[in-house]
Amino acid sequence: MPYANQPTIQLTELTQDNIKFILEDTDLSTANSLRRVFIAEVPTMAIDWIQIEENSSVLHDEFISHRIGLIPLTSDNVVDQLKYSRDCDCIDFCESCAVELVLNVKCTGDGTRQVTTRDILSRNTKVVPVTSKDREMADDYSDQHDILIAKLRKGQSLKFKAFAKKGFGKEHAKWQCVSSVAFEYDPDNALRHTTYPKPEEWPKSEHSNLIDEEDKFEAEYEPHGKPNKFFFNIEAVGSLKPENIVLNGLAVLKKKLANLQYQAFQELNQDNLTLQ
Amino acid sequence: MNAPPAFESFLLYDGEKKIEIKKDTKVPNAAHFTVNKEDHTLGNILRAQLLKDPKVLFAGYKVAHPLEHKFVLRVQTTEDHSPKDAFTNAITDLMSEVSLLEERFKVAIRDKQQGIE
Repeated sequence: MPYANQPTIQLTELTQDNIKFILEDTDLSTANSLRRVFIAEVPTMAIDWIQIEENSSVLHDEFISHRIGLIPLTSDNVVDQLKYSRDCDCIDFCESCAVELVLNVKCTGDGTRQVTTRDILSRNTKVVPVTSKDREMADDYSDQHDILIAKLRKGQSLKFKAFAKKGFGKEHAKWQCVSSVAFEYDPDNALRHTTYPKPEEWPKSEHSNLIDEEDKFEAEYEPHGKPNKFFFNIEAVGSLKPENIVLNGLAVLKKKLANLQYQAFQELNQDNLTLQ
Repeated sequence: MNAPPAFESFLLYDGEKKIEIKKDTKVPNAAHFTVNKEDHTLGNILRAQLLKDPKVLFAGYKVAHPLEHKFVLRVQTTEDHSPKDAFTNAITDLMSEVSLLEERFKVAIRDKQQGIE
Protein backbone atom coordinates (compact mmCIF):
# COMPACT_ATOMS: atom_id res chain seq x y z
CA MET A 1 0.00 0.00 0.00
CA PRO A 2 2.58 2.57 -0.87
CA TYR A 3 0.52 5.66 -1.46
CA ALA A 4 -2.91 4.77 -0.14
CA ASN A 5 -4.83 7.02 2.22
CA GLN A 6 -5.90 5.80 5.63
CA PRO A 7 -9.30 7.40 5.98
CA THR A 8 -11.00 7.79 9.35
CA ILE A 9 -14.71 8.04 9.94
CA GLN A 10 -16.64 9.61 12.78
CA LEU A 11 -20.36 8.93 13.07
CA THR A 12 -22.14 11.93 14.51
CA GLU A 13 -25.77 10.93 14.10
CA LEU A 14 -27.64 7.78 13.17
CA THR A 15 -31.43 7.67 13.04
CA GLN A 16 -34.07 5.74 11.09
CA ASP A 17 -33.86 8.03 8.11
CA ASN A 18 -30.62 9.91 8.42
CA ILE A 19 -26.94 9.39 8.93
CA LYS A 20 -24.35 12.08 9.53
CA PHE A 21 -20.68 11.36 9.49
CA ILE A 22 -17.32 13.06 9.08
CA LEU A 23 -14.79 11.51 6.74
CA GLU A 24 -11.17 12.53 7.26
CA ASP A 25 -7.69 11.84 5.88
CA THR A 26 -8.76 11.19 2.35
CA ASP A 27 -8.90 13.10 -0.91
CA LEU A 28 -11.67 15.19 -2.33
CA SER A 29 -11.88 12.74 -5.23
CA THR A 30 -12.62 9.74 -2.97
CA ALA A 31 -15.21 11.68 -0.99
CA ASN A 32 -16.86 12.82 -4.21
CA SER A 33 -16.86 9.33 -5.70
CA LEU A 34 -18.53 8.07 -2.54
CA ARG A 35 -21.15 10.78 -2.84
CA ARG A 36 -21.79 9.81 -6.47
CA VAL A 37 -22.07 6.15 -5.56
CA PHE A 38 -24.56 6.81 -2.74
CA ILE A 39 -26.77 8.76 -5.10
CA ALA A 40 -26.63 6.63 -8.23
CA GLU A 41 -25.16 3.19 -7.75
CA VAL A 42 -26.53 1.59 -4.59
CA PRO A 43 -29.07 -1.06 -5.68
CA THR A 44 -32.63 -1.18 -4.36
CA MET A 45 -35.91 -2.82 -5.34
CA ALA A 46 -38.59 -1.05 -7.36
CA ILE A 47 -41.42 -2.18 -9.58
CA ASP A 48 -40.29 -2.48 -13.17
CA TRP A 49 -42.89 -4.66 -14.88
CA ILE A 50 -46.62 -4.30 -14.58
CA GLN A 51 -49.62 -6.00 -16.12
CA ILE A 52 -52.84 -4.07 -15.63
CA GLU A 53 -55.92 -6.27 -15.67
CA GLU A 54 -58.55 -3.66 -14.85
CA ASN A 55 -58.34 0.09 -14.80
CA SER A 56 -61.56 2.05 -14.87
CA SER A 57 -60.13 4.98 -12.91
CA VAL A 58 -59.77 8.47 -14.36
CA LEU A 59 -55.99 8.05 -14.67
CA HIS A 60 -54.67 6.23 -17.73
CA ASP A 61 -52.60 3.04 -17.53
CA GLU A 62 -49.16 4.55 -18.16
CA PHE A 63 -49.84 7.29 -15.65
CA ILE A 64 -50.64 4.78 -12.92
CA SER A 65 -47.73 2.54 -13.96
CA HIS A 66 -45.34 5.47 -13.64
CA ARG A 67 -46.61 6.21 -10.15
CA ILE A 68 -46.37 2.56 -9.13
CA GLY A 69 -42.76 2.42 -10.29
CA LEU A 70 -41.84 5.36 -8.08
CA ILE A 71 -43.14 3.71 -4.90
CA PRO A 72 -40.15 2.95 -2.65
CA LEU A 73 -39.99 -0.68 -1.52
CA THR A 74 -38.14 -1.96 1.55
CA SER A 75 -35.02 -3.59 0.19
CA ASP A 76 -32.81 -4.05 3.19
CA ASN A 77 -31.58 -7.61 3.26
CA VAL A 78 -33.30 -8.76 0.12
CA VAL A 79 -31.44 -6.77 -2.48
CA ASP A 80 -28.09 -8.38 -1.67
CA GLN A 81 -29.44 -11.86 -2.30
CA LEU A 82 -31.30 -11.10 -5.52
CA LYS A 83 -29.71 -11.13 -8.94
CA TYR A 84 -30.31 -8.54 -11.61
CA SER A 85 -33.06 -9.84 -13.90
CA ARG A 86 -30.81 -9.49 -16.94
CA ASP A 87 -28.21 -11.76 -15.29
CA CYS A 88 -30.68 -14.39 -14.16
CA ASP A 89 -30.93 -17.56 -16.27
CA CYS A 90 -34.66 -17.96 -15.84
CA ILE A 91 -37.17 -17.07 -18.53
CA ASP A 92 -39.10 -13.97 -17.44
CA PHE A 93 -39.01 -13.79 -13.65
CA CYS A 94 -38.29 -16.12 -10.78
CA GLU A 95 -37.78 -16.06 -7.03
CA SER A 96 -34.13 -15.18 -7.32
CA CYS A 97 -34.48 -12.09 -9.48
CA ALA A 98 -37.87 -10.53 -8.77
CA VAL A 99 -40.65 -10.09 -6.22
CA GLU A 100 -44.31 -10.27 -7.21
CA LEU A 101 -46.76 -7.64 -5.98
CA VAL A 102 -50.49 -7.39 -6.63
CA LEU A 103 -53.27 -4.92 -6.08
CA ASN A 104 -57.01 -5.41 -6.46
CA VAL A 105 -59.31 -2.60 -5.43
CA LYS A 106 -62.90 -1.95 -6.40
CA CYS A 107 -64.86 0.97 -5.10
CA THR A 108 -68.18 -0.35 -3.80
CA GLY A 109 -69.36 2.35 -1.42
CA ASP A 110 -70.72 5.79 -2.17
CA GLY A 111 -67.68 7.82 -1.19
CA THR A 112 -64.30 8.16 -2.94
CA ARG A 113 -62.07 5.13 -2.43
CA GLN A 114 -58.45 6.09 -2.15
CA VAL A 115 -56.13 3.47 -3.55
CA THR A 116 -52.94 3.70 -1.53
CA THR A 117 -49.81 1.65 -0.96
CA ARG A 118 -51.63 -0.05 1.89
CA ASP A 119 -53.56 -2.00 -0.77
CA ILE A 120 -50.42 -3.39 -2.38
CA LEU A 121 -49.79 -7.01 -1.38
CA SER A 122 -46.40 -8.59 -1.79
CA ARG A 123 -45.39 -12.19 -2.19
CA ASN A 124 -42.29 -11.54 -0.12
CA THR A 125 -43.10 -9.92 3.22
CA LYS A 126 -39.67 -8.35 3.34
CA VAL A 127 -40.29 -6.33 0.16
CA VAL A 128 -43.25 -4.05 0.81
CA PRO A 129 -43.93 -0.38 0.17
CA VAL A 130 -41.95 1.69 2.65
CA THR A 131 -45.12 3.07 4.20
CA SER A 132 -46.33 -0.44 5.04
CA LYS A 133 -43.20 -1.25 7.00
CA ASP A 134 -43.78 -2.24 10.65
CA ARG A 135 -47.53 -1.97 10.27
CA GLU A 136 -48.31 -3.93 13.42
CA MET A 137 -46.17 -1.86 15.75
CA ALA A 138 -46.79 1.69 16.96
CA ASP A 139 -49.87 2.44 14.92
CA ASP A 140 -50.66 5.46 17.04
CA TYR A 141 -47.28 7.08 16.85
CA SER A 142 -46.44 6.42 13.25
CA ASP A 143 -46.62 9.43 11.02
CA GLN A 144 -46.22 7.14 8.04
CA HIS A 145 -48.65 8.33 5.46
CA ASP A 146 -49.62 5.75 2.88
CA ILE A 147 -48.74 6.89 -0.61
CA LEU A 148 -51.83 7.72 -2.66
CA ILE A 149 -51.90 5.96 -6.03
CA ALA A 150 -55.35 6.83 -7.41
CA LYS A 151 -58.87 7.71 -6.32
CA LEU A 152 -61.86 5.61 -7.37
CA ARG A 153 -65.55 6.41 -7.64
CA LYS A 154 -68.34 3.93 -7.08
CA GLY A 155 -68.04 1.16 -9.66
CA GLN A 156 -64.46 1.92 -10.68
CA SER A 157 -61.71 -0.58 -10.06
CA LEU A 158 -57.98 -1.03 -10.36
CA LYS A 159 -56.35 -4.44 -10.60
CA PHE A 160 -52.77 -5.24 -11.55
CA LYS A 161 -49.91 -7.66 -11.10
CA ALA A 162 -46.37 -6.31 -10.93
CA PHE A 163 -42.80 -7.49 -10.50
CA ALA A 164 -40.21 -5.57 -8.53
CA LYS A 165 -36.65 -5.84 -9.77
CA LYS A 166 -33.22 -4.90 -8.53
CA GLY A 167 -31.70 -1.76 -10.02
CA PHE A 168 -29.85 1.45 -9.14
CA GLY A 169 -30.32 5.16 -9.58
CA LYS A 170 -28.23 5.45 -12.73
CA GLU A 171 -30.83 3.48 -14.64
CA HIS A 172 -33.90 5.25 -13.27
CA ALA A 173 -34.54 7.54 -10.32
CA LYS A 174 -37.09 5.11 -8.87
CA TRP A 175 -34.19 2.96 -7.71
CA GLN A 176 -32.47 5.81 -5.91
CA CYS A 177 -32.15 5.02 -2.21
CA VAL A 178 -31.36 8.54 -0.94
CA SER A 179 -33.39 11.70 -1.16
CA SER A 180 -30.24 13.75 -0.83
CA VAL A 181 -26.59 13.50 0.15
CA ALA A 182 -25.40 16.68 1.82
CA PHE A 183 -21.68 17.09 1.26
CA GLU A 184 -19.53 19.83 2.72
CA TYR A 185 -15.83 20.53 3.16
CA ASP A 186 -13.77 23.49 4.36
CA PRO A 187 -16.70 25.30 6.02
CA ASP A 188 -14.68 28.47 6.64
CA ASN A 189 -13.29 28.75 3.12
CA ALA A 190 -9.65 28.55 4.22
CA LEU A 191 -8.73 27.06 0.85
CA ARG A 192 -10.56 29.81 -1.04
CA HIS A 193 -12.24 27.29 -3.33
CA THR A 194 -14.99 29.86 -3.59
CA THR A 195 -14.81 33.63 -3.60
CA TYR A 196 -17.27 35.66 -1.58
CA PRO A 197 -17.51 39.27 -2.74
CA LYS A 198 -18.86 40.11 0.76
CA PRO A 199 -18.08 37.30 3.24
CA GLU A 200 -20.15 38.97 5.97
CA GLU A 201 -23.36 38.34 4.03
CA TRP A 202 -23.08 34.58 4.28
CA PRO A 203 -24.39 32.61 7.29
CA LYS A 204 -21.82 30.42 9.01
CA SER A 205 -22.07 26.67 8.48
CA GLU A 206 -22.93 24.41 11.43
CA HIS A 207 -19.51 22.83 11.00
CA SER A 208 -17.71 26.14 11.10
CA ASN A 209 -14.97 26.75 13.63
CA LEU A 210 -15.65 30.47 13.53
CA ILE A 211 -19.17 30.28 14.89
CA ASP A 212 -18.38 32.16 18.08
CA GLU A 213 -16.17 34.80 16.51
CA GLU A 214 -18.32 37.68 15.44
CA ASP A 215 -15.85 39.66 13.39
CA LYS A 216 -14.30 36.79 11.43
CA PHE A 217 -16.33 35.57 8.50
CA GLU A 218 -13.69 33.60 6.64
CA ALA A 219 -10.69 31.70 7.93
CA GLU A 220 -7.12 32.73 7.11
CA TYR A 221 -6.05 31.80 3.63
CA GLU A 222 -4.03 28.55 3.52
CA PRO A 223 -2.28 28.51 0.16
CA HIS A 224 -0.97 24.95 0.55
CA GLY A 225 -4.01 23.49 2.22
CA LYS A 226 -5.88 20.50 0.79
CA PRO A 227 -9.44 19.41 1.45
CA ASN A 228 -9.19 16.86 4.21
CA LYS A 229 -12.37 16.79 6.29
CA PHE A 230 -15.71 15.99 4.63
CA PHE A 231 -19.11 16.34 6.29
CA PHE A 232 -21.76 13.97 4.95
CA ASN A 233 -25.46 13.93 5.74
CA ILE A 234 -27.32 11.15 3.96
CA GLU A 235 -31.10 11.26 3.96
CA ALA A 236 -32.55 7.87 3.21
CA VAL A 237 -35.80 7.32 1.31
CA GLY A 238 -36.73 4.36 3.51
CA SER A 239 -35.92 1.53 1.12
CA LEU A 240 -32.55 0.94 2.77
CA LYS A 241 -31.42 1.79 6.28
CA PRO A 242 -28.92 4.67 6.25
CA GLU A 243 -26.07 2.55 7.57
CA ASN A 244 -26.76 -0.02 4.87
CA ILE A 245 -26.68 2.68 2.22
CA VAL A 246 -23.14 3.55 3.23
CA LEU A 247 -22.01 -0.07 3.56
CA ASN A 248 -23.52 -1.08 0.24
CA GLY A 249 -22.08 2.03 -1.39
CA LEU A 250 -18.59 1.15 -0.22
CA ALA A 251 -19.10 -2.42 -1.42
CA VAL A 252 -20.23 -1.20 -4.85
CA LEU A 253 -17.17 1.03 -5.20
CA LYS A 254 -14.91 -1.83 -4.17
CA LYS A 255 -16.60 -4.12 -6.70
CA LYS A 256 -16.11 -1.58 -9.48
CA LEU A 257 -12.42 -1.31 -8.67
CA ALA A 258 -12.06 -5.09 -8.42
CA ASN A 259 -13.74 -5.57 -11.79
CA LEU A 260 -11.47 -2.95 -13.31
CA GLN A 261 -8.43 -4.68 -11.80
CA TYR A 262 -9.50 -8.02 -13.25
CA GLN A 263 -10.19 -6.59 -16.71
CA ALA A 264 -6.88 -4.71 -16.68
CA PHE A 265 -5.08 -7.93 -15.79
CA GLN A 266 -6.78 -9.73 -18.70
CA GLU A 267 -6.00 -6.95 -21.10
CA LEU A 268 -2.37 -6.61 -20.06
CA ASN A 269 -1.62 -10.29 -20.20
CA GLN A 270 -3.22 -10.66 -23.60
CA ASP A 271 -1.08 -8.00 -25.19
CA ASN A 272 2.13 -8.98 -23.47
CA LEU A 273 3.87 -9.51 -26.78
CA THR A 274 2.78 -6.36 -28.55
CA LEU A 275 2.88 -3.70 -25.85
CA GLN A 276 6.12 -3.34 -23.96
CA MET B 1 -37.49 10.50 -29.08
CA ASN B 2 -33.81 9.84 -29.60
CA ALA B 3 -33.12 8.94 -25.99
CA PRO B 4 -30.79 5.95 -25.67
CA PRO B 5 -31.81 3.29 -23.11
CA ALA B 6 -30.63 4.15 -19.62
CA PHE B 7 -28.77 0.89 -19.12
CA GLU B 8 -26.38 1.89 -21.90
CA SER B 9 -24.46 4.00 -19.41
CA PHE B 10 -23.23 0.96 -17.52
CA LEU B 11 -23.72 -2.21 -19.59
CA LEU B 12 -21.03 -3.14 -22.11
CA TYR B 13 -22.05 -3.80 -25.69
CA ASP B 14 -21.53 -7.25 -27.17
CA GLY B 15 -17.84 -7.67 -27.79
CA GLU B 16 -16.93 -4.36 -26.19
CA LYS B 17 -14.02 -4.61 -23.79
CA LYS B 18 -13.97 -2.85 -20.44
CA ILE B 19 -10.45 -1.45 -20.83
CA GLU B 20 -8.50 -0.72 -23.99
CA ILE B 21 -4.84 0.18 -23.65
CA LYS B 22 -2.95 2.09 -26.31
CA LYS B 23 0.64 3.19 -26.20
CA ASP B 24 1.24 6.89 -26.62
CA THR B 25 3.85 7.24 -29.34
CA LYS B 26 4.59 10.92 -28.88
CA VAL B 27 6.52 10.57 -25.63
CA PRO B 28 8.29 7.62 -23.98
CA ASN B 29 6.61 5.62 -21.21
CA ALA B 30 3.08 6.87 -21.74
CA ALA B 31 -0.21 5.10 -22.40
CA HIS B 32 -3.89 5.83 -22.92
CA PHE B 33 -6.38 3.67 -20.99
CA THR B 34 -9.90 3.84 -22.39
CA VAL B 35 -12.38 2.53 -19.81
CA ASN B 36 -15.81 1.81 -21.24
CA LYS B 37 -19.13 2.25 -19.47
CA GLU B 38 -17.65 4.15 -16.56
CA ASP B 39 -17.78 7.79 -15.56
CA HIS B 40 -16.17 10.36 -13.28
CA THR B 41 -16.83 8.13 -10.27
CA LEU B 42 -13.88 5.93 -11.28
CA GLY B 43 -11.99 8.33 -13.54
CA ASN B 44 -11.39 11.05 -10.98
CA ILE B 45 -10.48 8.68 -8.18
CA LEU B 46 -7.92 6.85 -10.37
CA ARG B 47 -6.39 10.08 -11.60
CA ALA B 48 -6.00 11.45 -8.09
CA GLN B 49 -4.41 8.24 -6.86
CA LEU B 50 -1.99 8.13 -9.79
CA LEU B 51 -0.85 11.65 -9.04
CA LYS B 52 0.28 10.56 -5.59
CA ASP B 53 2.86 8.21 -7.07
CA PRO B 54 6.16 10.13 -7.42
CA LYS B 55 7.15 8.03 -10.43
CA VAL B 56 4.13 9.23 -12.37
CA LEU B 57 5.02 12.25 -14.48
CA PHE B 58 1.59 12.81 -15.97
CA ALA B 59 -1.90 11.61 -15.05
CA GLY B 60 -5.09 13.03 -16.46
CA TYR B 61 -8.52 11.85 -17.53
CA LYS B 62 -11.39 13.14 -19.57
CA VAL B 63 -14.94 12.19 -20.39
CA ALA B 64 -14.85 13.38 -23.97
CA HIS B 65 -18.62 13.66 -24.40
CA PRO B 66 -21.39 13.21 -21.84
CA LEU B 67 -23.39 11.04 -24.22
CA GLU B 68 -20.54 8.57 -24.66
CA HIS B 69 -20.10 6.59 -21.51
CA LYS B 70 -16.38 6.11 -21.26
CA PHE B 71 -13.31 7.96 -20.09
CA VAL B 72 -9.73 8.15 -21.34
CA LEU B 73 -6.95 8.15 -18.77
CA ARG B 74 -3.48 9.21 -19.88
CA VAL B 75 -0.52 8.15 -17.76
CA GLN B 76 3.16 8.90 -18.25
CA THR B 77 5.82 7.56 -15.91
CA THR B 78 9.58 7.75 -15.45
CA GLU B 79 11.94 5.44 -17.29
CA ASP B 80 12.15 2.80 -14.57
CA HIS B 81 8.39 2.47 -14.13
CA SER B 82 5.61 1.62 -16.58
CA PRO B 83 2.15 3.15 -16.97
CA LYS B 84 0.61 -0.28 -16.57
CA ASP B 85 2.30 -0.86 -13.24
CA ALA B 86 1.29 2.58 -12.07
CA PHE B 87 -2.31 1.89 -13.09
CA THR B 88 -2.52 -1.48 -11.39
CA ASN B 89 -0.84 -0.12 -8.23
CA ALA B 90 -3.31 2.76 -8.13
CA ILE B 91 -6.25 0.36 -8.28
CA THR B 92 -4.77 -1.81 -5.55
CA ASP B 93 -4.19 1.20 -3.31
CA LEU B 94 -7.74 2.43 -3.84
CA MET B 95 -9.18 -0.97 -3.06
CA SER B 96 -7.23 -1.14 0.18
CA GLU B 97 -8.39 2.37 1.06
CA VAL B 98 -12.05 1.53 0.49
CA SER B 99 -11.70 -1.74 2.42
CA LEU B 100 -10.13 0.08 5.35
CA LEU B 101 -12.93 2.62 5.27
CA GLU B 102 -15.49 -0.18 5.25
CA GLU B 103 -13.90 -1.76 8.32
CA ARG B 104 -13.72 1.50 10.20
CA PHE B 105 -17.29 2.29 9.29
CA LYS B 106 -18.54 -1.06 10.59
CA VAL B 107 -16.72 -0.41 13.88
CA ALA B 108 -18.21 3.07 14.09
CA ILE B 109 -21.73 1.71 13.54
CA ARG B 110 -21.28 -0.96 16.16
CA ASP B 111 -20.02 1.58 18.66
CA LYS B 112 -22.88 3.94 17.91
CA GLN B 113 -25.49 1.20 18.27
CA GLN B 114 -23.95 -0.01 21.51
CA GLY B 115 -23.86 3.55 22.73
CA ILE B 116 -27.60 3.87 22.08
CA GLU B 117 -28.37 0.69 23.95
